[in-house]
Amino acid sequence: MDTFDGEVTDEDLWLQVLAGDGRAFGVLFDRHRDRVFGHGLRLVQSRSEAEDVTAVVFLEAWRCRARVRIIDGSILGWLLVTTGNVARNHLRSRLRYQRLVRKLPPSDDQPDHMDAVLDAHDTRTRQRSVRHALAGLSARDQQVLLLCVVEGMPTADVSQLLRIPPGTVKSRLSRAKQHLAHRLAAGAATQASPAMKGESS
Amino acid sequence: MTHEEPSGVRFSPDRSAAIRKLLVNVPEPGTPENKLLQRIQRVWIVIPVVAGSLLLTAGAVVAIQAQVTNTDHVNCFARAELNFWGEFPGTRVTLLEGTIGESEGGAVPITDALALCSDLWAQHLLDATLPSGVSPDPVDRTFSYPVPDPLTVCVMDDGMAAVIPGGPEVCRRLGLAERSG
Repeated sequence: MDTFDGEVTDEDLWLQVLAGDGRAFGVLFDRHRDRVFGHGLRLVQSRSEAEDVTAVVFLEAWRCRARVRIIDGSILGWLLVTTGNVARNHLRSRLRYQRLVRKLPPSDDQPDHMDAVLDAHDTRTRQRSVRHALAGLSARDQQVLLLCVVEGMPTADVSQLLRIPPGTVKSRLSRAKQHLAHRLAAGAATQASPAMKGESS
Repeated sequence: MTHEEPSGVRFSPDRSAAIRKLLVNVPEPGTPENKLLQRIQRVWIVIPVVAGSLLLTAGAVVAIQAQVTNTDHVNCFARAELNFWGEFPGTRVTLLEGTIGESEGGAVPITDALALCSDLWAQHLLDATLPSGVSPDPVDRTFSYPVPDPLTVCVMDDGMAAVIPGGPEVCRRLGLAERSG
């Protein structure tokens, strides 16, 4: 078991990682795996791909360790931004780490049980519509929309992460929402988007 | 905050454990994972369009076999066409590493040419209907575009692999060697 206190900040853990402590990297993975995975799952098509993306995001954190940005003691924002980039460059990222990722066990993606499929059908239909509409947005619009709305990150944090003024974040977010709404309305499925419900200011 | 995983999909426990084990080794000096990542600074794919106006070569009459001796690049053909100057519809792929410290960088050997070109097809980087064979559109990250079946690996005069739509006869038809072994 790793013995890091639960109150140790990401920043402290990251310093340990930089000093060569692999256990600290494991704790960071435990802490943020699900958020990174969930974010990746919105951008790729399968669980196994999202798992690969998650692995690559953490490997990228190590590779780009000199440039990792910690905001308010948390590495999560940087990981989420990187998740978007990795998902967009899935092939390139996979090739970069192919010698490591190939060592991982294959995904055990299984068809869902019928009851679960029926229960989830409506949700999945909506999610497919949103995912399709999202895919039609520019990379910059996708990024701001996912970070601000879906992940609920404050405008100020997104501003710091993306190195753009807060006003630009807001205007880009407004434009992204308009584009998303337009695309959803134009699509076959016009149900309300879960992504549009979760905004925090 | 709304950060539930879509559809309640969960990370596979086995893969999670494997990834965690991998990551724990990454920062530890001396581990294989640490050594490998110390060498990797930047890898990217170079995709020049090499097709000009195309004239189909006359097929060579003698079937020869050769080994791939140049794994720095792979030629992914969009159609089974090759002109006198060695131009073809499609793309050449190169994988590069930079350097950190005193370690050497350079081209990363591409050991699975077929898988690499298949990925480009699946992402719609290759399009047989276009003169250049290369789509100008952004790649499709869903990997949902069809991959020609079969694809065959031939060997070009310079020892590079060429992955070409068609069966084993396609190498001979274009005057290329079949891959041996």
